[in-house]
Amino acid sequence: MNKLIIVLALFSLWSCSGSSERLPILGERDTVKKMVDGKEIVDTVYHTIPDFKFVNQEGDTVSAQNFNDKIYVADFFFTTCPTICPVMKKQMKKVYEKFKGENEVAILSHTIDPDHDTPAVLKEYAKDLGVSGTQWMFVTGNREKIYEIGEKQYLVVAGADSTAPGGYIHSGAFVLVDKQKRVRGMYNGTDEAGTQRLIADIERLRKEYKDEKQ
Amino acid sequence: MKNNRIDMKLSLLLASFLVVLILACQGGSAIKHEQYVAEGFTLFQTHCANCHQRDGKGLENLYPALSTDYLKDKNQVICWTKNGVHQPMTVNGKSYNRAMPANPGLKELEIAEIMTYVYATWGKETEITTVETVKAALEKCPPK
Ligand code: HEC
Repeated sequence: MNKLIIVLALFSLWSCSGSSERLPILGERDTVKKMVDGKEIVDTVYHTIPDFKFVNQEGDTVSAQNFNDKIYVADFFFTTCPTICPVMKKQMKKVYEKFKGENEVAILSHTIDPDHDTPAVLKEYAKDLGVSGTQWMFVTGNREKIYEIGEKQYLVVAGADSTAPGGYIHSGAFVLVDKQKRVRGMYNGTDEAGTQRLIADIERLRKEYKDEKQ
Repeated sequence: MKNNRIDMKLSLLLASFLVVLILACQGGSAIKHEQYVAEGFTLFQTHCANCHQRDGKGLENLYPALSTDYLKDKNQVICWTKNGVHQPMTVNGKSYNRAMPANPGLKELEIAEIMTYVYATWGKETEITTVETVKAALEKCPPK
């Protein structure tokens, strides 16, 4: 088994080039050798988001199955955050408006302050942000599980830090995940350029899937 | 008669002196106002714009637009800036009741600069909010 660590920076440069090439696949990858018809072939196994269990703003349990056959964007925030979250939510709202009603696209926002951000608090927040339905899910759950999936799976920082304003530090990144649950892009959720790049890449991914079908 | 003429001259002199003085002071206070606005702008971007937005128009039903309805009570706004606030409010027909966080670390001068920027931008004020005004307002804030 050969473990390769892919340099994220290289990929973000690549994805910046704006070509019509396929989006890169991010994260660690393994190669496995296997025998097919008596011949040895090398297969690449990509990093994928494993199953999870959280509760959304409607009080319903949400797992990775809810995102089967969907391209989705994940991020981390908390409702009382005084710093970058309001900016991220303003930007994510643009992504939401752009793909509203498209069954193939979803958004998954995790609170990193589950003690305060109960499903009811999240529902109120979603409503005040002008979001209805569950195409955009706001989820809460076990604190450790949320931090773990953030850092280990979505490759972003999320955690408690008493020195930070509001008591938590977290990344301002939007993470793009494809239908195979592979990470395909990271975007700065606090600025317009990052948001527009994300919207463009979602379109590119949709096109990849459409082309594959034909 | 002679005395009268001297009086005239004196008052003319005094008047022109006053005019010069007023002009000079206005110039000085205009510059000070600009300085406060510039500093206040930067502080506003750091401490306020995340929620109220750079244009002060707020964000959906989460964060209210800055409105003269509430700006008219400057002492109250000074207290909210320092101590935060959480009470039902209605701005432009929308109701809000979400906590605005306190800024315990802001100094009186910084609050004065933020107020000067806010009131120049959304309140059409041309005078600075002085540190003394901030100090006096903070002393009378309701207990937290
Ligand atoms: C974390 C988000 C947040 C930040 C940062 C923030 N506010 Fe607010 N602000 C609010 C909310 C929410 C309300 C409504 C509060 C309520 O209903 O109790 C509000 C209300 C106000 C109001 C009265 C209503 C209006 O819109 O006119 C003023 C004035 C105000 N804020 C000024 C400021 C100033 C000045 C700063 C920067 C020092 C600031 N705010 C920072 C969220 C915020």
